[in-house]
Amino acid sequence: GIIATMTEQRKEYLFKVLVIGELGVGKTSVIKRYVHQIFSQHYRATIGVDFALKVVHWDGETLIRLQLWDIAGQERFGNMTRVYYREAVGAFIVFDATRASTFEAVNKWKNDLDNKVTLPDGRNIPTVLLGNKIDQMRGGLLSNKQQMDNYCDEKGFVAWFETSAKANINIDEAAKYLIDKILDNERSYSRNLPDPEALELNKDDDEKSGCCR
Amino acid sequence: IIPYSCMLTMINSTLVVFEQPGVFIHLIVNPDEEDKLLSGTLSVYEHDTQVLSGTSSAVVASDATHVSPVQTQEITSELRQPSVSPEPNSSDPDWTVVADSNKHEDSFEMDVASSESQKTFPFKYDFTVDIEDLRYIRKSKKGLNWKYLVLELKDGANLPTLHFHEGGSKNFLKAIESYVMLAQSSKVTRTLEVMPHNNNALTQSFDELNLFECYDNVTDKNKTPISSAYSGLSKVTNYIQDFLNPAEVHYQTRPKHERATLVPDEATEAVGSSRIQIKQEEDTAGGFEMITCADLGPRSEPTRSLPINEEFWNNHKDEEGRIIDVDEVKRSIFRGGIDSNLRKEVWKYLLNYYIWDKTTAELKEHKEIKEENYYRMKMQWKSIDADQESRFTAISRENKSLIDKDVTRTDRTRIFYEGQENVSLKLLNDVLMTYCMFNFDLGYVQGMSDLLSPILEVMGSEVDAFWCFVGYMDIVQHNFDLNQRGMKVQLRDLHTLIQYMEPKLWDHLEEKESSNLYFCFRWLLIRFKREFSFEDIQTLWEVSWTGLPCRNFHLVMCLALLDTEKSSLMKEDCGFTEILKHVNEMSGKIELQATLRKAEGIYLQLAACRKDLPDSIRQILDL
Repeated sequence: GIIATMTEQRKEYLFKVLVIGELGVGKTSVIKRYVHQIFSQHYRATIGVDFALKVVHWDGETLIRLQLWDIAGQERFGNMTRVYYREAVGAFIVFDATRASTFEAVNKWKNDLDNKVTLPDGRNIPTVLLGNKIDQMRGGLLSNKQQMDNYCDEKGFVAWFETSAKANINIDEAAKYLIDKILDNERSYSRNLPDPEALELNKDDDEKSGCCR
Repeated sequence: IIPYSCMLTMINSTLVVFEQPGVFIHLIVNPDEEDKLLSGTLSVYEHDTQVLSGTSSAVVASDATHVSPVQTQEITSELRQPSVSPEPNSSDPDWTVVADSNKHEDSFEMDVASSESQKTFPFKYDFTVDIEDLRYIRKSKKGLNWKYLVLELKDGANLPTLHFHEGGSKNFLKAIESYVMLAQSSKVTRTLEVMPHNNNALTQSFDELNLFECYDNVTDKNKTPISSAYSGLSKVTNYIQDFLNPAEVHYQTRPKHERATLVPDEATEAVGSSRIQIKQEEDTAGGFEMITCADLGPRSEPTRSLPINEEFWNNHKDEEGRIIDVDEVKRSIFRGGIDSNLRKEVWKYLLNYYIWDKTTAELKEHKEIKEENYYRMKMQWKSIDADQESRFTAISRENKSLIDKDVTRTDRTRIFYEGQENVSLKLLNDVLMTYCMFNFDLGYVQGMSDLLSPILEVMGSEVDAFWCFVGYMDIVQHNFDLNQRGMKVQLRDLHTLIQYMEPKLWDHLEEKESSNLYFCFRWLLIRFKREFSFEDIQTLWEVSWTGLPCRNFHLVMCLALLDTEKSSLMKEDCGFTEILKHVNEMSGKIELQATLRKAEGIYLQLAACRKDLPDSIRQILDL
């Protein structure tokens, strides 16, 4: 899923990112917020798989086309939607912070993801955990910060964010964090390439945004 | 359709030149039971041999470890070939057959196996053979849903029949052909003879070349006396792609890519492999094989009519309220749909809630019983209290929360469903909850709310909507099966249709790894609900509820949609992702009437030559 082209120091990437999690946790809303800066209570339930594309001007020299794959949460047709995991280089697993059952299912989604897709070098794809609908939760998840950090370490998430697609909380930050991780992986591939120019990536996007790490 | 395990054949210092996962071996344990399937990866790899010649030799290998039972319906009996399927050796359940040119005499033990160990699954089942040890490759009959190949070795043993459920047989043959020559056998049909490359081929006589030129002319059948002679043997609706048995001709010693193109190859290019049928002409000497191509004939674009109106409807009722000439009513609805103000009444008939030949008085009674039934079932879930529910399994509780989640996001932009405290949402919820009581084991599955929403809006009443929904679910409920049987069967049937009708599109889909057709998933699951406007979906659904012209008309609709889009879908840069994206983005942009015309045209085109269609196509289309 990574296509990098280089024209006069400008780098262009295509990243395929999965958005998965239980039914009704707000996957479509997160994507629409991030891509179109809008929110509606009334997005339809996703049937099968949907798409969204966002062009990110990462820095002066890097353009990223982010392909967001909105994968239906219904378990029954899982085997038909899992084929779309292939070639993904990053993922968000979303749960509804107001519904414990959707958090309990996170582990299942993470295992499923790790079993079905890996980076070309065999590592798991970087995955960010999103606790969505935080606007409907008094106090948010921050009161459980330590627990959440431990959980993420244990389960192999690169980070977690509490988010609200409705109130536009932390969506951009979470996406930035994930893109940064994906770029890190890209750079480590580049280092293995003989092309010296591939190493010339600017490094001023060090901002570790978000509420954790 | 069938789960398979993917195994890479990785051997040090070898070059894998071909690899095809999803190649199956069917084992017949007991003729009365379902086949057991072994799945694995078929590879052709090259390895350096220390043979004096210094050339590399190639090996065919298959590695299968996975055993899975298969639903009987997915296996056609024609494919059962007990005589070919080998039996594992009981003394060595992990047997591996390896052969190279030095010891192939003693290494193939399939025929001496006992049948005892067949019952002990799973076992490892793989083989490796030198390509040069192959003698014949027998190809599958055409017109099946998938291809299979039987590899016969020089010592007479057969390797297990390899079923290419995921495609790839053609490429496999291509891969083999770079090492040996494959020529149609002179004695047996559907069989390729494996011959070593003749290194002198390039310098061989000009006579051969002249021969090829002669055969090349066969493409123009009007010019060749031989072909016109054979045309008398073919069916009127078919046209012959003459295939002259090349057995006596010397050009077999020439590798295929050096030969002039033979007619069958060209026919395959032009029409696509799947529509070429091979017919054995029994009465011709020498077992000539006729490759005929079902000529589908011209495709018409039938006209559509206006929706049926009140006058039409009332004219089709007798004085007591029975509907007369139901067939004509259905035909007219198929042709043009129903006036929107009539839907509320006519849908009840189409969805088997009302019965066509009941009088108005009888219907009143019928309706009362149905109403009672509805409220009885509604009471069943309504009366469950929190304490009782707390002891339910997660699955039962889940229905409630799934419905709750989906009701709040079903067609909320419709006036009928908009706003916070909309009573229609409660009706949607209650009908779905009651349906869970009615069809307890199925429960609620995402997509159902989409199917109910237009029905509820048209009916306006909870009871009527429920029974109409029941009627619709009777048609589509297998879409929601836990084992996804309904979806799988439809995807398989659609596969068959596309492969036959649009072979070039099919080749493209296969090349772009989209042959699972999952991009049609949403179309099929909720019968195009998300693809059309609310008005159009009502028309499409009522047309389809007539059951005309065949049960699977919605699959023909898929075919029509893909036909319309095929120039976009078949662009070289339209890959796995783009195909899905393109199909998703068709939503809201499809012209319903034009698509219905095209779909009916396709159906009529096929119906006109039903005698020449493969059984699989006839079955799908009730022809």
